[in-house]
This record gives sequence, C-alpha cells and structure tokens, in this order.
Amino acid sequence: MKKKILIVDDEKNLRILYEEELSQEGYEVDIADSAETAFKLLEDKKYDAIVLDIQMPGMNGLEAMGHILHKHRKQAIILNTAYSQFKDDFESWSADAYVVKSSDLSELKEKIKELVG
Amino acid sequence: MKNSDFKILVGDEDLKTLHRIKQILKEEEFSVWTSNDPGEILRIIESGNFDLLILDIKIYAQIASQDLTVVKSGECAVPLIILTTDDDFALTIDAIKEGAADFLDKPVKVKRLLITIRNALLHYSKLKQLRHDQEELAYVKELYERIINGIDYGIIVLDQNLRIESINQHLRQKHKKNTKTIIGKYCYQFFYHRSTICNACRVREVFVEGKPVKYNLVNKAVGGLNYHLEVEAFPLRDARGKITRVVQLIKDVTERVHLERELRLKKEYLENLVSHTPVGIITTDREGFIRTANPAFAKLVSVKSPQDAIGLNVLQSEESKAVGLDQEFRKVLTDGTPIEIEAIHPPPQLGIKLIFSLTAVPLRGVEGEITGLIATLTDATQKWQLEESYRKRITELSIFKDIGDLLQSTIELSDIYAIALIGVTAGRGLGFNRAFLLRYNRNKNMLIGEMAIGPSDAQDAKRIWTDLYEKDLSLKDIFETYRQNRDEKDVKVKRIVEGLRIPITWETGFLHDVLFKNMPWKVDDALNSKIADQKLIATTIGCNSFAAVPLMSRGKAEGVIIADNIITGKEITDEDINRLSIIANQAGAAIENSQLLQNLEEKVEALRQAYLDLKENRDLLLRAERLSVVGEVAASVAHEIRNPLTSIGGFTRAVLRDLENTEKVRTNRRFLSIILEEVKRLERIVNEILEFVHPVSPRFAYTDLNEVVEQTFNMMAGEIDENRYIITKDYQEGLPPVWMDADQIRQVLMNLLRNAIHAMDDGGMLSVITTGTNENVKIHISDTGVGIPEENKDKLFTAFFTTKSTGSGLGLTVSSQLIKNHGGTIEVESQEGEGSTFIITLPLRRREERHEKENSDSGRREESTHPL
Repeated sequence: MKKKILIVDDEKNLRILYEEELSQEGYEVDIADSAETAFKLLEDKKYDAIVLDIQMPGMNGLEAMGHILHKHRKQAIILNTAYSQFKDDFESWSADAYVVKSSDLSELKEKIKELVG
Repeated sequence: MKNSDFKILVGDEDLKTLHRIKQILKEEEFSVWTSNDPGEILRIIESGNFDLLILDIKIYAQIASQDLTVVKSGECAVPLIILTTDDDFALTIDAIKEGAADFLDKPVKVKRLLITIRNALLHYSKLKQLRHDQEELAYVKELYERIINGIDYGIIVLDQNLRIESINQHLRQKHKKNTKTIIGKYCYQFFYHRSTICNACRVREVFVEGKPVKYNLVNKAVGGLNYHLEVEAFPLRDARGKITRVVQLIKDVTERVHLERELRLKKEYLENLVSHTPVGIITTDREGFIRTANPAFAKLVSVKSPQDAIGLNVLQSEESKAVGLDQEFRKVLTDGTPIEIEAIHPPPQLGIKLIFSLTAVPLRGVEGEITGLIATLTDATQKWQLEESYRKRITELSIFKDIGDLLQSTIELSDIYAIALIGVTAGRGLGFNRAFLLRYNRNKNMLIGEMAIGPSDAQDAKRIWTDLYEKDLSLKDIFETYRQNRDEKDVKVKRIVEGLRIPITWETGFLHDVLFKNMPWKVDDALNSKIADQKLIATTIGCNSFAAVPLMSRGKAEGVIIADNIITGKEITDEDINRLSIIANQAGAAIENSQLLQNLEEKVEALRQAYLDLKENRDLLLRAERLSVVGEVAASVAHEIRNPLTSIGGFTRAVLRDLENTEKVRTNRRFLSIILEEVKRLERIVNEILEFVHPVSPRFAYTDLNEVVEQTFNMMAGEIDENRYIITKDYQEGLPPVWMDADQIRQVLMNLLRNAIHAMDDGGMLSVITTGTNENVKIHISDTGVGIPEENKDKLFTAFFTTKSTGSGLGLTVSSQLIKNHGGTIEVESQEGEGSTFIITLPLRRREERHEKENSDSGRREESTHPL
C-alpha cells in the first residue's frame, strides 16, 4: 500500500512541484494551501509524513506543528522552508526533520524516505 | 463694817440653843437667820446669801452627807462654826478637817461665841484677801508669760557664768528644742556654737557695770547667710541689790540690714551713674532754677563744675534764650508737656561747638503737682555728623546709580566713554570742570586722547552751566543732548584731546603707575613738576592741577580719565579722587560687558557653524541608516527569491528529466509556463529592490495630477477585472499643476491600486478621489477590503513588511520614500474588515531649496558604491 504524504505550502507552484515529484516517487500525495486546510484533511485521514512550510499567511508552520503534535503525538513532520534561521528555533526541534527549500528535491525525498521507509 | 451687815445663819435641832444664840447675836446687832430644818438650811446655804454659818454637828453631818462642797471643801466662801458636844468630838474633828473654821461646845457661852465668831470672820476676810491676791498674781503672771512668749524677740536670762537660766517660747521654737535641753547650757555654746564667749558680747560688762547695754551681733549661720542680731542686755538684781542675772533681749534684724545695704548700694549706684554718665542731667525747681547738675552737664555746657551750674535759671539764661529753649522749658514747667529735641545747634557766640539732643520731663510732687523738671542733655555731634555723611553718601550713590543705569543702556564704547565723562563733569555728577579720556595703545605703549567734555573758557562755562541749571536736566537728558550734538560740542577740548599723545615710561612718568598699578593720582603744580608726563599733560590741557584715574577692564589697562577744575579753580579733594575712581570703575565694567557681548556674538556664530556641521552629520547619518536598510534588503532578497527559484529549478529539472517522454509534453508545457511566471516574479522583486536602493533620477515638471491618475488606470487595465470591482473616480476639476516626477507618482499610484485589489479578493469597490487647495493636492485611494489591523499600521511603511504571501514588502516603503521626495506625505486610515484609505498629499509650491537639496543628495548617492 502506498505511503501517504501531506504537503502544506502557500506557494501554489511549489505545491504542484512537490505533488508531481513525490507522486513519481510512489507516494500518495495530498496538498493543502494553509495550516487550516491541513487540519481539515487530518480530521479524516492519517498521513505517514507531513511536509510543512513555515512562512504562510494565517497560522504559520511552527504554530501548525504545535497543533498537530498536540492531537497526533507520533505524527512525522518535516519542516520545509525558504528560511534557514528557523532551524535554530526552539520550536523547530519538535520536527523530525528540517529541510531548506531548494530546486534540488533530493534532500527532501531522502528525509521522507528515512521517516516513512 | 458694822455687825448688822453680817448675816449669820444658825442651824440646830435644839430650838433652845437656837433661841439662845439668836438672842446673843441680836444683842450684838448681827443679822441672824435660824432654822432647825436641815432641808431649809440646805436651801439657804445654796442661796449663798450669808457671811457666817453656825451649824450643829448633827445638821452638818446630814448636810455633809449631801456632798455639799460649800461646807466640805474648806474653801467655802463663808466660815463655818460647828456646835458640838463632847459626845460628838470625833465628828467635829472630821468637820474641822473638811474645812470648818472652828467649833463651840454646847451649851454656848456668850463670850466664847462672840470671840469665835470674830476670829472666824477675821480669818476668813484674810483668807479672802489672800485668795484675791493670788488670783491677781496668777493673772499677771500669765499675762507676762504670754507677752514674753508672744513677742518675736528672743529673751534669755543668763546667770553670772553666762549659763542659760530660761528662754522664751520664741527662741525655743526657733531652735526647736525644749526647755530642758536648753537650760544650764552656756549661751555662746548653745546659740553660737562657740567654745568661748563671743567677741562682741557685752553681758560681762552688764554684770560689772550694772547698766543696760545695746550692741549688735553677727551670727554666721550654717547655710552661709549671716544673721544680724540686735541685743539689749540689762541687769537683774536680787533682794540685796546684787546683780545675779542678766536678761538679753535679742532681735533678728537680718532683713532690715539687708534692705539697708541694698538701699545704700542702689543709692551709690545711682549717684555713680549720674556723676559718670556722659549724659548731662539737671533738675530744676518750679521757677526754673537748677537744683542739681551732674559733671557731664557741666562739661557739656562748659562750666567749671556742677556747683557752678546750680542756681542758674533755665528760663532766664542766655544759653536757653539763644536756642529758644526757655520757651520749651516753660511749657514743661507750666503744662507738664515733655520735650524731646534731636539736634540743637548752639550759635557761635555761645562758644559751644557741640550739637545737642535734649529731653525734659516734669517732676511731680505727691499730689501730682509740678515741682520742677528733669532734663537730659546729650552730645549728638558725632551722630549728627554721621547722619550728615550718610545723606551725602546717599546723594553720591544715586549719582553712581544714574551713571550705572545709563552705562547699562549701551554697549557702544563711544557711548560708554561719553557717559563716564558726563558723570565726571555734570553738576549732578561729580562737578569737575573738564574731563579727558585717553586710551592706552598697547602696540605703541602710549596713551592717546580719545574724547573730552568741558567748556572752552569761563564765558562758555557760564553760559553752559546757567543753561543746564535752568533746564534742570538729569544725567540721562544731558547724555541724550550730548549724543545729538556730539560733533558741534566742546570744540576746544576736543582739539586738546586730539593732541594728547603721551608715551608711557616707568622711569620718567607717573602714568605708568596709574595704568599698571591701578593708582589714582592727584597732581598739583604740574608745570613745575620734574615728572615729564605731568608737565606734558599740564601744558597740553593748560591746567596746573588735575586728577588722573585708571580705566580698567577685566584687570587690563584700557586708559586714563583726566579731570580738572580749570574754570572754578576749586581744589581737588581726596574724596573727589575716590568718586572719580568709582565712575572709572563703572565705565570699566561697562567696557567689560561690551567686550563680553562681542565675545558672546563670536561664540554664537561659532555655535551656529557647529550646528550646521551637526546638521550635515545628521544627514550623513540618515544616509548611513538607509544603507543599513539596504543591507537588510540584501539579506532578505536571498530568502525572498528562494521560493520562486525552488519552483523554477524544480520544474526545470522535471522538464529535463521528462524531455524524451513525448507523452509528457502537456505537463512540460504547464511546467514551463510556471517557470516563466516565476521568472517574471523574480524580475518584479529585483525591480522593486533596485527602485528602493537606487531610484532613477527624478525628472520634475508641472503636471496635471488628474491626468497622471487616469494614465495609471490605463496602464493597469489588464490587472483590474472590471467585472469583480466597482471603480469610482472623482477628480476635482481645474486642479493647479503640481511640481512632480510623473513616473514616480504613477509608480506609487500603481502600487497602492494593486494593494487595494489584493485586499479585495472577493471583489469590492475601489474609489479614487482627487482634491486641491491653495496649499496642496490630495489623492484618496479607498478599498472595501480586509483592512489593516491596528498593530500593523505602524509597520506598514517599513521595508519588507508584508502580509501577502507574494511580494517583496517593499512597495509601500518605496512609495512613502517617493512621496517624501516630493515634499508630501502618505497616510493611511483603515478599519479592519471594512477597508482602507491611503491619502497622498503633495504640496503645490515648488520648493527651490528642497529641489536643489534633492539634486545634491542624488548626486552624492551616485558616488556611493552599489550595495547589491
């Protein structure tokens, strides 16, 4: 059975890119354009990993991670952001991985593979 | 006394005896009562109305048993004769013991009866006398004792050895001892605590001489206070006339002695005071004749001694009349009006060179009637002279104050000099005839004449002084007049002063000391002086004597003021020199002020320069700040372009990977269009950044604002979907042209319109309004979008603040900067959930300076290296 991944990112084009690339890797990929949309999806479905952007309008990724981990303590989360400064942020330590956005998606793919097997 | 005067009561049970006795006594003409009834007898006895009682023993025994003191005590008022028989002898003895006078045996014999009666009566009359005498004696004794004990004299009876035989109560109480402990003690031991007789004691003398003596004793009391005792001692003789005792009467006069002493001291003190005081004091009688006078008075009015003054009449004397005091004294003596005169100036003919103050008050007798007067005379010469000098000093001070006020009104050196010279010469000032001011030239080491005031000759002087006197001008008026006619006045002295050039040498001149040792100088007979510069001055100003004082400012020699009295020839006094120095000092201070002010102006100019430098530095600082913002831009850009780069790179990789797979052409086409989109986005970001850090040089021109707004809408035609947004435009017609760079303003408008549309994702109303006044024009751009939360309003115009997921956050920062460059403002009003309005205000008037500054700023910016 395919492993399920949820992509949360406000950038439409990035969502398309991640969805395309990760589907090719053999994952079942859902996308959400905001933390709020992600929460809705999480109500009905379980994911093996969530790729979470930090800088988003509305609730940001760190805050969203707090909410998700509060309900699903074992949820695997990868923070995926354009900003490297959050890496030292105390809150990001709760994430299973921290990936700085790049056009080369191999690091992201590797981290997902490590987490979901 | 006749027998009939004697009433005799006879009591016997035996009537025969009664009768017989009655017979006998009647014959002898005694008044007789007889009774055989004991009850009746008792009643009669109790009435007491009889002189002799003859009672039968039996009756007596009966009555005696009734406890009748009259008959029992033996002290009964009347004699009692008991009638008895041999049988009753024992009872009779008892009666005799109880006080009966005698007894008669019954039967009574006539002769015996009468003898017994007479003896009894005689005996009782003697007894009565004795008793009376005793009572009298007791009374007298008690009286004396009371007197002796009652008086507050001490009374002591001494024997020949001066031992105390008795003392009175006063002394007993005083010494708190009872009689027993006192009696037998030696007088000096007990009273004076001495082992030998007191030195002042004269008791021995009384024993020898037998005459009373009076003397005083001082008893040193334990507490240190002396008792003063007045002692009277007189002899007591015994029956043979020998002096066996001396009585001492001792009176404590301590209080009196003290009072006397105090009074004496007081009297001496007053006498001392009166005779040594510098105040002259006299008393007169009602007629004005001097009764007493003290030495001070004699001295003040120049008579030899106080005695010489006594007998003179204050109402008649020459001296009184000469100063009108006779009238004043008369008032005191007749009306009792006190007088007080502060200063009496005796006329010269009296030969008294003093000034007096005088007071006089009436003396009154017991009834309040005027009996004379007492007058005090004080030498008020010094006081008066002191007051006079105060008055003079006050006048002087007011001159200096006037000059000071005038000096404060100017900082012009020539005015200061003129005021000083006017102060020196004016009648209301120091009153010198002429004054010259010479300034010290340091380079030439020379005093050079600068200014002078004074008349040309006696005639000129008279004219000027009369004129001034009549006009009664103040120093200020004189100064004003002088200032107006400066050039035409004092021609001669001006010529003189122009010729004054005096080299300073310490060897040959006095001016060296004046200038550098700050020594004012008075020069007399200068023409014959051996001192060169004195002679030079004298010949130049044409006056033989003059004063020279230094003019100093901040301790440095500024010059010299020379003053003379060439017209009046009045001698220059030390006082004049002092005042001259004061005016010179005042002028010096004014010169100092003037110089300080000049320095102050220089300082102000320096401060102004410093301020300008500071302002320039501040501008530099602002620029540096902007550069640091640019640094932040650089840091943010890297992040901001990461998202588009990620997707560009990612999709390019995907396209490349799938290039061989023709089935994926559609997907690749989609990816390529995304890549293109992201590249456009990157271009926009880069443009905005470049706009912020390196704006295009502005091109200003007078432009129609409405036209610019309309052009902007045209340019954005593709971006604004007319179906989703209602657009209203309200342009005020005939707006004056605005000095602006149209390109920049269009960019601002475009930015704001784009923001408005983005705020209304679900559609809404966009409205643009232009308005204008004489001062400025305004553009309102309103949307009905989400609005701006309160907390974000402040951050709105700072770089990289954005709530949008796309966009650099630079748009509003750049817009704000561009509007500022136009001298305008950009403001925002917003209600969250209702929409926002941005208001741009642009000034109408072209600001030349601003414009130039703008150019120079951009010029400078050109030189800096590009931060990116």
